[in-house]
Formats: sequence, C-alpha cells, structure tokens
Amino acid sequence: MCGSDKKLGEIRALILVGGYGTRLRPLTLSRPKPLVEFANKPILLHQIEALVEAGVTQVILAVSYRAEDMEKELTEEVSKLGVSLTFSHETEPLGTAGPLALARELLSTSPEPFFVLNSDVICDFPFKELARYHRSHGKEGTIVVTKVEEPSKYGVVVYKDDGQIESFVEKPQEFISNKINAGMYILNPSVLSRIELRPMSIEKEVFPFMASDNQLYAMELQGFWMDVGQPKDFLTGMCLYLTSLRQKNSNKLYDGTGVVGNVLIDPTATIGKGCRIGPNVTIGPDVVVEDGACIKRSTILRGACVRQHAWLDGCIVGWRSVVGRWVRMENCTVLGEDVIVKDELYVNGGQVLPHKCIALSVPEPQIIM
Amino acid sequence: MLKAVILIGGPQKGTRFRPLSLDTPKPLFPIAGLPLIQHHIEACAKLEECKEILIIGAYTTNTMSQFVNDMQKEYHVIIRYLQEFTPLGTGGGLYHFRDQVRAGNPAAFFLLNGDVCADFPLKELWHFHEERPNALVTIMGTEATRQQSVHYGSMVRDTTTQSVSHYVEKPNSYVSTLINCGVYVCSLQVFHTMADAFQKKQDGFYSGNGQGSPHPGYMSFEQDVLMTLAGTNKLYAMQVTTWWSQVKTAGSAIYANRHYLELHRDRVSKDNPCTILPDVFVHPTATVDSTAVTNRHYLELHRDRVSKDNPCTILPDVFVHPTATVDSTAVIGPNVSIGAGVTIKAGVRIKESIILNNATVHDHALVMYSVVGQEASVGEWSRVEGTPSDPDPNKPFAKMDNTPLFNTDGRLNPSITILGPLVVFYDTQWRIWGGAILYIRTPYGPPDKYNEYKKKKRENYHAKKRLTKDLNPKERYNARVIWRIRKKNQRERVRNLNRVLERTPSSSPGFPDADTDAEQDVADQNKNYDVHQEQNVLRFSYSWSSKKGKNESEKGQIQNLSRKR
Repeated sequence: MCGSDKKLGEIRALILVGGYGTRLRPLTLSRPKPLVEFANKPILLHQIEALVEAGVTQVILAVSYRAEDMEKELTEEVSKLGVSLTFSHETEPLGTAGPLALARELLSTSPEPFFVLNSDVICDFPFKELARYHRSHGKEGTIVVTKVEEPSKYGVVVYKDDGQIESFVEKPQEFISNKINAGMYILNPSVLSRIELRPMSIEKEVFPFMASDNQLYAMELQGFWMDVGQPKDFLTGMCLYLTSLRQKNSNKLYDGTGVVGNVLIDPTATIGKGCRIGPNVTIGPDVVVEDGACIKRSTILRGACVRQHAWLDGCIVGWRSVVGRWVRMENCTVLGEDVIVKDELYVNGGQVLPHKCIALSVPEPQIIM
Repeated sequence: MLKAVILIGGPQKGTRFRPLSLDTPKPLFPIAGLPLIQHHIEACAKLEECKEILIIGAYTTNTMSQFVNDMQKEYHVIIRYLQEFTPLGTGGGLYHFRDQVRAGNPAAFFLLNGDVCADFPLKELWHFHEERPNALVTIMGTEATRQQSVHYGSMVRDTTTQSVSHYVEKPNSYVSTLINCGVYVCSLQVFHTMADAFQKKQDGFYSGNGQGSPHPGYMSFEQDVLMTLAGTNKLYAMQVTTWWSQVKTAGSAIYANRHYLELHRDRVSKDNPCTILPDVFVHPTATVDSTAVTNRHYLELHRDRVSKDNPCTILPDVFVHPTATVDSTAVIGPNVSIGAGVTIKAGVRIKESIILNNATVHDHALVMYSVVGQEASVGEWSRVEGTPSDPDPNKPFAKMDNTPLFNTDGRLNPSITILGPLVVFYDTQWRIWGGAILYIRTPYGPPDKYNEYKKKKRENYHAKKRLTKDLNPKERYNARVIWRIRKKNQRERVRNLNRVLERTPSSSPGFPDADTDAEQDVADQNKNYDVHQEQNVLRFSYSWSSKKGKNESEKGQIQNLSRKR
C-alpha cells in the first residue's frame, strides 16, 4: 500500500486504472486491461516507461479490482525502471476525480505538480514538454489536447491562442473546435482542494470550474493519439504506434522475408515458410506461425498458434489460442484466452470468450459465449 | 437383344446449370471425372444383351461427335448420336427416330433421361419387365418425401401386381411418395401407343388446339404416353432403394459427384490397394489410402515438379485427372473431382468441389462446396465457399431440392458457389461465398484494383511484343503463329459462348415444361421468376465482395446490371 518513504520534491504520477475494461472484453476477462499487451508490452508499461523518462519517481495506480494480479506482474518490471509503485485501492468506483482525493496524502506531500493520466491512452507521451509548459504559465493545471477528425463524438476543449482554456463543450452539434481532452494532465496539489472523496468526474466537475477561474491551460499533442479501450481502436492504435516506431526506432521492427510493412515480432516467436506477414502486425513471445499463413493488421498475443495457410485481417488472437488451418478471420475478430478455431472456418467479427472451441463458421459479427 | 436410348435435350435447356453449361453441354459436364452421360453409357455397356446405344438430343452433331467416338472406342458398343431437327420433347424425339430404335428388332429398349444420376440397376429392371408379358413400359421408381414428391412424376402402384394405376406429372397436391426416376424399359409396342398420341397431337395442332406446342411433332413421354398407359395394366413400376438424383443445378452436381465417386470406389478398390495409372511415383513412406486414385503424377515432367517424397494428401473419395498437377502440400478431398490440365498450387485445400479443365488454384486458397469453371483461376489466400445443398440426411428418402436461383425477396438462395469459365481473380485474398455465381470472364476483385489489373495486362501484351522483336525471323514467326492460334482459340471460345447466350432468349415462351430439363414451371412462375430476368442477371452478375465482412447481407444479393449487347 505504500512506498512513500521517498524524499520530498519528487515528481509523482497518478494513473487512473479503474474500470473493468468491459469494452476490451473478451481479453479483459483473463487479464486486467492495463496488462493486456499492446505492441508486446502491457499498456501500463508504455505509460510508466514514458513517465520514468520524464523523471517521475513515484507512480500511484488508482485501482478498483484485481490489484493483486497487477502487483504481481508489474512490481518486477517496474523496479527495473527504478521507480516506486504505489497502489491506491478504491473500495467503490470513484470516477475520474475521486481517486485523486483518495491519494490526497501521497499527492500533497510536496508542492510539486503531479501527472494524472487515463490508463487506456496510447500516444507519443509528451511528459517533459508538458511539465515545462506547465511551469511556464504557472497556473493550477494543464491538459493535453489532441486533434480528432470527428469532434462531435467527444467533449471538445475551447481555448485561446496562448493556451488558456475558455470552456468545455460536450458533444457539440455545430463545429466549435476539433481539440479534445487526451486524458493526460499535470496538476498542482492545490487542485486537490477542489475534489471531494466521492464518485466524481474530473472532466465535468473539476475542470470547468478551473477553467472559469482561468487556472487551466491546454497543450496540443504532437503525433498520434489513440484511446485503445476497444478492439477496433486497439488495432488502429497499434497501426499508429508501429508507424511512429518506424520513424523513431525502426531497428525494433522486424525485417525479413515474407514481411510487408511495419511488423513487430518477438524474438521467441517462430515464423514458418511462405508466410506473408504485415502490414501492421505484432506477434508476441512464444507465438508459432506455421507455413503459408497470411496475417495483416493484427495482434497475436503470447503463446498463440496460427496454423498453416490461415488468413487473418484485423484480428486480436488471445493468449495460447489456436487458429486452425485454412481459417479466414477478419473484421475485428477477437479471440479470448485459449480459444481454438477449428480448420477451414470463417470468422467475421466474432468476439470469442476464453476457453472456447469453435467448430462452426461465424458469418456475422457476434459474441460467442 | 436390347437397346438403350439416352435423351439429352438441347442447348436451350440446362439454363439452371449456367454458367457451366455455356461452354460444355450439360450432358458432357464431368461428374466424378466422367461426362454425365458416360455413367449411363457405362451402365448400359455392362449389360451384355445391350448392343446399341442411341443418344437423342438437339445439340449439333459437332458437339457430340468427339464424345461419341471416344465412347465407342472405350465400350465396344455401337453408339450413335441422333440429332433432332428441332426440340421435340421427351417423346417426340424418340418417336421421330422410332425406326432407328426398332431396327434389328430388339426385345425391348431402355429409355434413360440424360440428367439423372443413379446406380442404374438395368439388369433388375429388365428382368422385372421380362416377367410381366403385358408390360409396355416399366418405370424405375423411388421413394421421396411427401413434400418433395410433388416436384416429380408421382405414381400410384397396385401392391400385388406392381402395375401403375395412376400417374401424374408434378401434381399440385400430394399424390404418392413413389416417384418416377426417368429410367424406363419399353417394349417396341409402345410405339403403337405413341402413334395414337402423335396422331392426337397432330390433329390438335392443325385444328388450332395445340395449346402452344411449338411443333406438331412435340410430345412429352410422361404426359402423352405414361399418363395414357396408367391404369391399363400395361404400365409397371419397379421400386429401387439405391441412390438416385437429378442433376439440375450445380448444387446437385456436387452431390452427384460424391455418390459417383463412392460407386467408383467399389469398382476400383477390389484387386489393387490403390489405382495407379502409369508413371506414378509414390514414395515408400507415403501413405496412400486404398481408395485414392493417385494418377496425378502421370507425366514424368510433372513428377519432377511434384516433390518426390510425399504426394499430396488425399482424403477419399477424390478423382484427379492424370494431366493435372497437384502440389505436394495441397490437401484434397473428400468429394473432389479435378479435371485435365488443372494446376493446384502449394498449400491449397479443396473439398466438396469440382475443378474443371485447365483451371488454376493458387497458393493457400481454400475451395469448398464450389465449382470452378474451365480456365478460371482462383487467387492466393482466397476463399471460395458455397453453401452445401445436399438433401437432408436426417429425412429418409429426401431428394436434392432444386431450389430456384433467387428467393421471393430477389436474393440469391444459398447454394453451391460457381466460378464460370475464364473467371480471373486479379487481386489476392478474396472471399466468395454462399451461392455466388460469377459469369464468363468476370474479373473478380476490388473495383479500385481493376485499372491496375488492366494496366498489367496491357504491359504483358507489350512485353510479349518486345520479346518477339529480338528473335530471329524464323523464331519470331513461330512465336507469332503460336500466339495467334492461342488468341484465335480464345476468341472463338468466347464467340461460341456468346452465341449460346444469344440464342437462348428466343427459347419460345410458353414452352411446355415436361421436357428433360424444363422446370421453370408453375411453382417458379408464382415467384415472379422468368427466364429473361434470370438471363439478365446471370450474364452480368458481379458479386463484389469486399475484404471486410461488413454489409454481408447486402452483398449476398446479386447486382442486376443492365444488359449490353
């Protein structure tokens, strides 16, 4: 529960893990969402690594369920990074602001600002720039905003040219702005006085008041951003991530025969002959891809097996699942843990729950219990 | 002495077999590797007393002569093709050539419809007929379900004498579950009955009561002969329980294929563990099922190409033509027929399908419940999948349901998928399913890739031209000749196909439907289903499917594109 014996003046970060990850089912039935591997690394680890790079030394995870799983999995990884991990348990869901109140003790130990982020966001995390910018304007908080194509689905942020936020508009019918809240903030501990210990939404019950007091600024995010809370966005986010990886660190990507475009393959995976893999594929550790398989725009998680001549497009194959020979899967099909798809089947947009064996084709998108 | 008559109809019929019947006449469509009516001929030739087989139809002699010659060589029986001058129906043609049938004074003759498939029990049928001296015609009958019996000729039989007391062709309501199989034994005296019927028809035609008969000689064997004979103690029926089916649609072809393969198996597997035609290489460690016909490594050339240590995996029953090339990593069967010159590439999976001559199936493709037309090509990682349309195995006596192409909503009924002749996939990884029918030369793939495909073709053309430029005059001449011949053959084939298409719309409206292959009958008409509509759709039907599976239901519908001349 604690790890707060560090000295004062350190940069802290709070990650809102919360939720059951229902939108990423059936994967989250076997593993809490922050631990689902995105590009061969748990989503949470992407965030923690970026935070560490920005000089964060203490990470507080606001969790409401399955904390033990996370503790077990993450402690080792995180200690390697030289950062202390603290779990803040919610006994009841507290929304997006409540956890801050719960961790008030930890957060108010120093006057330094702290980071807050949602756990299902993937982007080029700009924590260093964010801290610099926050200090430059000297107000209570800064929100990272990102540009989206269809702002009418989200709450948009309206701000002045110097970044000072004027207002928030939920789901605007008319175009007002194309900048939305990217789910990453830096806040001064003084903000905690605006938050009570009850289920509370930071977006609706805290930020609007801060904005009206002229205490909130926005920083525009450069590069890609994706909320990977749903299978479809998970795959889109993966494509964006791999593209950015190609630009920044292309030697991490796999380069070999039969590979097309940006592909990430774990060194422990086995790839058969005559395969065509890519573009935009991540293949996890211990995965076996047999001869003549074709995989596009998919994620294959640890220990799965794609058998001969299978064809996959837009799929997430869960841990230790087996995709049979000549199987065709497409249209955002998600296989949970340990699913078996028999030979020669067709699966169109099926969401298959863990430990299931499929013996019949799934021609229409549906959930297979 | 006995004779046999096989009625095969004409090119105007077999419309529901399109596009497969466009370049191959339906009677010659290969089922289990043999033309449809070769199975009839084989059954007749097995009977020693049968000395002559007459094939009557309206196809031109040219189309049939090659086949007839081949058959004659193979079975050492006199086989002749008699061409009707105009479609005369099931009875008219037979009556027209009565002297040919009578010649040599056979004791009786078998009459077989060309579009039925069965384990023809001709010997039993003949004995049954022989035992009943006053029988003019004996019908081979089989049991059907109550619902399905109305689509066939239904007959009521006297249980003690086995004589048919009532016969009705395609009744509107249920009459009997005993149906006519389209296989008969007739005594020569049947021609007397036919003469009376013929006279009646003539009188009717010339007095203006022809009821739309296209020709005074038009006669239906079922309606004009069997119905008059029923109840006179001259018509008998023998019930068989062996497998029987009609071949009307492509779906039934796959079904028939399975059963014929099974029948062949009995014949083949008796003395040697596995049928091997010359020049086969089977590695000692290979496992070949005794029922597999592994003749695909026929040519030495192919043997080199095919990996030496294991021939492809075959799940019985499979027929592979000797000249087909099948990659060692392919998995074929059950119920697959592969025609001459077919190329099956690496990692292909084929089941429940017929692959016609010179077709190509590229790497990693899956073909199931489909017919792939002549010279068609299936792209890599493609999935060609039809809906199995076998009779319900849980219902005893259920027969193949020959459902119309479209249902009442104008949607395609799920059925076997058919790729017409010369269909090409110009992009890989596509999926076709659920009874889609691609017509002749339909390029199949995403619309945006079509221009790319055309450009590539054009480039190939110019590349070929460039190639010949650098050759010496003699070589260039040879190359050009070969090229020209190939082009010409292709053009001609297309022209022939178009000719067939152009002729068929005129197939006279109001054509009586009791012909060997006419069933655009009352039931179908009730569903607003007319021949012209079918042609329109079939000729230019592109079933675009996208790689993404969305709008699935929408795509099941065939687009009705306008007809261009």
